[in-house]
Amino acid sequence: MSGFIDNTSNIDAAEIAAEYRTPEQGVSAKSNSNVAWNDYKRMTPRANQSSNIITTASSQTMQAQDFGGTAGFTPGTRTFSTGSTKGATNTTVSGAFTLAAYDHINISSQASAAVGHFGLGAQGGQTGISLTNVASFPSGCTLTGYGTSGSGGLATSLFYIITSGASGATNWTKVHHRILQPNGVSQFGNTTIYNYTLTFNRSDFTYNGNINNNQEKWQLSFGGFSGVTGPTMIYPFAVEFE
Amino acid sequence: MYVDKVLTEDDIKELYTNGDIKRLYLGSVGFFNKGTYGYPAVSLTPEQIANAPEDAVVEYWYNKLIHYVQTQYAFGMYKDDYIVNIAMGFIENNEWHLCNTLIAPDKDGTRAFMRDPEYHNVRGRTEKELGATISYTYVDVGSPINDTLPAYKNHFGPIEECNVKNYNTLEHIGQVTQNYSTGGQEWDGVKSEYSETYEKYKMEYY
Repeated sequence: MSGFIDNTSNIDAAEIAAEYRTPEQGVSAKSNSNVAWNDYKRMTPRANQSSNIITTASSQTMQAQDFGGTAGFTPGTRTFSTGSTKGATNTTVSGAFTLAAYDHINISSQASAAVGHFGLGAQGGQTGISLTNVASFPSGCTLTGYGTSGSGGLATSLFYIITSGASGATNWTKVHHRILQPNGVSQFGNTTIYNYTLTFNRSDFTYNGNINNNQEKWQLSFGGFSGVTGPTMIYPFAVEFE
Repeated sequence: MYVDKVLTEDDIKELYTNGDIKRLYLGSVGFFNKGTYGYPAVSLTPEQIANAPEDAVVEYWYNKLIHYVQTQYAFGMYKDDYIVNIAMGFIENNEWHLCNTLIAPDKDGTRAFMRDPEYHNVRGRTEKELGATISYTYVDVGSPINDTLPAYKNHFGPIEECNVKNYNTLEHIGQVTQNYSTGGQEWDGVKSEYSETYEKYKMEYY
């Protein structure tokens, strides 16, 4: 099981490589032995936090601490439809969910299934990721679900954070979500969009401390006409809790 | 030169990232708005839909395309390596059912390819290779596409080079009303039960 990188002062290259083993999504993965920290320049969510647009590989000097408290995820998707012909509307579950977490948000009569990976490069497993030493989560907590469900754009969607292991309602205050685009950048016509971080405050979420399988859930409505921007689940992403 | 491709989820993500889905949507929205396309099931008024941010609507189509490539079909037509059309539909009992289309001008800024028999031949071969022996097309009531299809019949019917789709057999079957359901599940922002009416057309292949 992959994990969040320790938020300490003694982060070493091996720890970073173990979590972020594919430096730039869309580029051939490197082995753990030949990865330099700056290969991850476009990936860490910590540098400059919410305004961290890293435009060139030489624009910043990466430090080990920039990786502290972060973990990478590879989102998966399951889509469901109201029918098969022209008027059908779809809804999509995207992100990383264990079987138990998915069970909670299951929006169809289809069999439950784990979605995505708690790690990058479609690795890291589907059994969750330890939250021990992450933010103020107590030891033994596991992140079992991190993702969204919704019909995209027009209708409101839901952002879920689901944990197991007696997490408690207030053991994190913010979560930083950083998209990891192929090569760190997208080109929309004449507009260039570099990897960016969205920060969400826990106080904006609704909390349910007792859902299925002794899990706890934070939920946020976004999109549609809510005025709230949600996390993008198209690309792999990195997460940091405070 | 035309190339038609059965699109994958990775293709859709790339087309979204490159801005191609937005370009295709912008090339199509005028046809939507002249019809009665109301984004079925979305719990919004027509006024809200009309005022929705462009990127929000593009995301709706992205979401729809992801579903099509996961469970049905989305075909991408490239003219000179530049995507000009995505057709969304499904095949059932050897029938191709065309449900939604996004289309935009080519690199030269024209839609002249829509009158090119080879454009239709290439798409028709894709449908036939997937087993289709007959095709159905669903069109919004009031959409200008209801005028385009008879015009296609008149234009392509006599053209020998248009030899995959038999436009001579194109016929308007009439209006069909379909019922839709979330299967008793609650989907945020989506009606659980609704129905929609469309014009339905039938056509054979050579």
